[in-house]
Amino acid sequence: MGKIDNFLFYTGISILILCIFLAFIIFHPKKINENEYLIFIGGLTNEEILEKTLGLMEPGDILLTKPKSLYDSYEYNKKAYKKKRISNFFFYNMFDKILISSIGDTYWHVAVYIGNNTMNSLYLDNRNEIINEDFIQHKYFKVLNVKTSEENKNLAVERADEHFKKQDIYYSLKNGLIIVSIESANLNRRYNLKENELVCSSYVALIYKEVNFDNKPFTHITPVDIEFSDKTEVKFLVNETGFYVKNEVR
Amino acid sequence: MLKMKLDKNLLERTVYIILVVNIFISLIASSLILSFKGSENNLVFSFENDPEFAIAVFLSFIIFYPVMFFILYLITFFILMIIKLIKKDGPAEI
Repeated sequence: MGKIDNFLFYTGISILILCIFLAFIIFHPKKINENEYLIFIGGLTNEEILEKTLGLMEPGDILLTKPKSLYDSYEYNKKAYKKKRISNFFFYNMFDKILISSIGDTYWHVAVYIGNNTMNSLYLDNRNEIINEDFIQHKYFKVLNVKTSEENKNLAVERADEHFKKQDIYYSLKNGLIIVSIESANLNRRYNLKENELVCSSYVALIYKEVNFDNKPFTHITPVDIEFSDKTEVKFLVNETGFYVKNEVR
Repeated sequence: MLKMKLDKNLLERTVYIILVVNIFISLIASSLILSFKGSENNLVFSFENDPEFAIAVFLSFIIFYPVMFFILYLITFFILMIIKLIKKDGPAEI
């Protein structure tokens, strides 16, 4: 190789090593230990889980969801939204192994329960999803009660309905990447992010504008901020081992 | 001995070309992906020349560059293997 070739080769190798190093520094995997006191109800069937879930949820509750597996998520989305297999494989792996893993390996998505077995959330568009057996079959979830007045909860449901009709909030990968990096690297930096370009968690923070989930602007709120906020408490959760409830809601 | 030298040269050239080409691929891919906003059925391309966009492209680049490098390297490696198998008379040249 000539001198220029050598220069480009070593420059390329240096950039590669630097990128791996920086990616690890900023997006290194973390594990959050949950030490919530919950009561184990048992390994229920999907029908029982659905019945119990709909019975315990109230409008204004926050749902945190994650797929039972990457394949399950693909299957769930394929049924509902005709997703493409290859793009999903890359997207889910990058999303799960880098972004979700770096903020604590917890839930993928945040939504608000708006009543009538429906939850509203921001994906690439603002969606209303029915909580049915399909949902129970493919997803683990945790339901949080927001410690705020009924008035604020009703206001949040009204706002969710309004944004769903208007479709005026855009999903922004750009802002998502920025807030995940801030959360992951534990920085106090704040950026000038547009209020109508959000991700699922900041969208929930927007419709719950009166509630301060963390000491951050709502545009910077991540799923972890909502999950472990002082302003929320776990009502119940469903995971691979079964159904768990908080004592009071049993 | 000659064959080993040729293989080493080929490997170096492959890695070198991928390393350089990948800088542009990763930058363009990051900028394009981060420029889209909106729904699945109505994606809008909106390029904004602000510091937040530059930061996001940088963050995306540090994720994409190593991932794309390994993908491109594997693809090239398999293509070279196939060419080598077809030719059967030595390693393939790029």
